[in-house]
Amino acid sequence: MKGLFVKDLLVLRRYIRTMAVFVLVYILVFTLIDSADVISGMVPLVLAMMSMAAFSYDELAKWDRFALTMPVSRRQVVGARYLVSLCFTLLGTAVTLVFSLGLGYLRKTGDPAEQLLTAYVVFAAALGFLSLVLPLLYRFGPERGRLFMIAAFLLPTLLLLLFRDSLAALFSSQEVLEQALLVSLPAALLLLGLSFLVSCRVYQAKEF
Amino acid sequence: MQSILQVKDLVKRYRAFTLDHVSFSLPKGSILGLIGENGAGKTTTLKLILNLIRKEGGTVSLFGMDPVRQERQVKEQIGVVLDESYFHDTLTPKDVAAVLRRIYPGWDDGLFERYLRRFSLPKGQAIKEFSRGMKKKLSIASALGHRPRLLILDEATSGLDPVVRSEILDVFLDFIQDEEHSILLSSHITSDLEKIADYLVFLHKGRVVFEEPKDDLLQRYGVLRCGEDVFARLERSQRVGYRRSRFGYEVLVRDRAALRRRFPSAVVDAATIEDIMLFYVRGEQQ
Repeated sequence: MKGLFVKDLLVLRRYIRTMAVFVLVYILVFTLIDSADVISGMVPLVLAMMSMAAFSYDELAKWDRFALTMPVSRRQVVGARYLVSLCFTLLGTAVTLVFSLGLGYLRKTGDPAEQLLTAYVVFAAALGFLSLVLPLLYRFGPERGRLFMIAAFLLPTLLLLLFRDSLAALFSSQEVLEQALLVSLPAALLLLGLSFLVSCRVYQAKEF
Repeated sequence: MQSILQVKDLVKRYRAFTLDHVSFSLPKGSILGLIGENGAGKTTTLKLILNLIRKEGGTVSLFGMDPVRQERQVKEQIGVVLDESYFHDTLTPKDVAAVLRRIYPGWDDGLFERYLRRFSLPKGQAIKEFSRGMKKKLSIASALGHRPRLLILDEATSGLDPVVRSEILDVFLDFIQDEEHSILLSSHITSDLEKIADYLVFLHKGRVVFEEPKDDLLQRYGVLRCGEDVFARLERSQRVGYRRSRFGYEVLVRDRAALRRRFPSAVVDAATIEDIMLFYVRGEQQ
C-alpha cells in the first residue's frame, strides 16, 4: 500500500506544485482585500479535490489493470487512495490554520480559538465531501464522476438553503451549535469509513 | 514434468464472445505461447489467470496455489507485461523503481538498473518522451526487477520493429536459463513464438484448438500443394483445412511424413506456425 501511496504522490507532484502556487496567490489576494476567512474554507476543499486528479491520471494510464497484477489487494488500492485524500485534506487544513493564526497574530485580530474551530469544521466538511465523491468516482470513473461531484457540492448547499429557517431555529442556542460543530468531525470520519467500505465493494466488483 | 501453471475448463461469457472451457498447463522451465487471431480469447485467458476479471467456471492453479485465495503470495512471484504501457507519462524509470520497491518484497534495484542499462533507458527521463519500444522495454525491466519465477506477457512484442523484438526475445531466453523460471506469452506474431516457445496453445473463437510441443507441430504438419486428383483421394482425417486457387489446392495436413509415403510424388513442405494458424482459421474445412 505504501508503494501505491508513493505512486500517487509522484504522479501528482507537478499538480501539487501548481496547486501550491495557486494557493499562495489566493492567500496573497485575499489577504490584500482583507477576507482571509474565504481561504480557510477553500483551501482544504481544493486539496481534497486533488485526489480526484489522481483518478483521471490513473484512467489515462490504464494503471488499475496493471496495479492489480501486483501483490496488492483491491482493498489496498482503495485504501491507498483514501489515505492520500485524507493526507491532502489534512495538509490543506494545516496550511490554512497556520496562515490564519499567523495573520491573526500579526494583525492582533481574530480569536485563535475561533480559528481552530473553523479549521476543525472545514476539515470535517472536506472529509464529508470526500466521503460522497470517492465512491462516485469509483463507480462512474473520473469523467462522469465529475458531474456527480458538482452534485455533491450542490446538494448540501441546496439542503442548507431549503431548511435554513428550521436550521437557524435548531441552532439558535449557542450550546446546541457548539455541540453540533464538535460532533461534525467524528461524524465525518464515520462517514469516511462507511464511504471506504462502499468504495471497496464497488471496486471489488469491477473488471479490468 | 512439474507444471507451474494449470488452467482447467476456464469459462468466461461476454455478450459477443465466450471463452469456452479453456485448459492447458505450463511445465516448469519452459515457454508456452498462446496463439490465435485478435479476439480469439488470449487476453481474456491471461486476465482470468491474473484474477483481473472473474471466471464463471474452471480452475487456475499457479505454483500449486489458488491465485484468488492466495493472491498475494502468487503475485509476488509473477512479472506481468501487458499490451499497453501503464505507467503514467510523467513518471521516470527512477520513479517506477521507487513505487515497485515498496510493493514487491523481492525487488532488486541493482537488477532493475542492469536491465535499464542493457536496454539503454535513461533513468531520469519522463516516460512521455519514450518511444513505443522504450516503453515496452521499461515494462519488461520492471516486470523482471523483483526476480519473478513466472513471466506473463500479453503481446509483448507487437508493434515493435524486428531489432527491438529480437533484443526482447533474447532477454526472455536469458530469463528461461534458470530452470525454475517459466514464461507464458500471448502473441499473434507467430515468428517470435516459433523462435522461443516450447509449447503452443492455439485458441480460436474462445476454444483451444490444440496444445502441443512446438517442435512436434513443426515436424508433423505440412502444406501439400496438389491438383484435384490427389485432393480427391485425401481422407478428411488427414487434412486440417485447404485453400483452392486457380492452380490447384493448398492443404494443411496433420502428418506430412505419412502423406509423403502415400503420395511419393506430391509436393509437401513443412508448415510454419503461421500456416497452421491461417489454415485453421481461414481455410475451408469441408
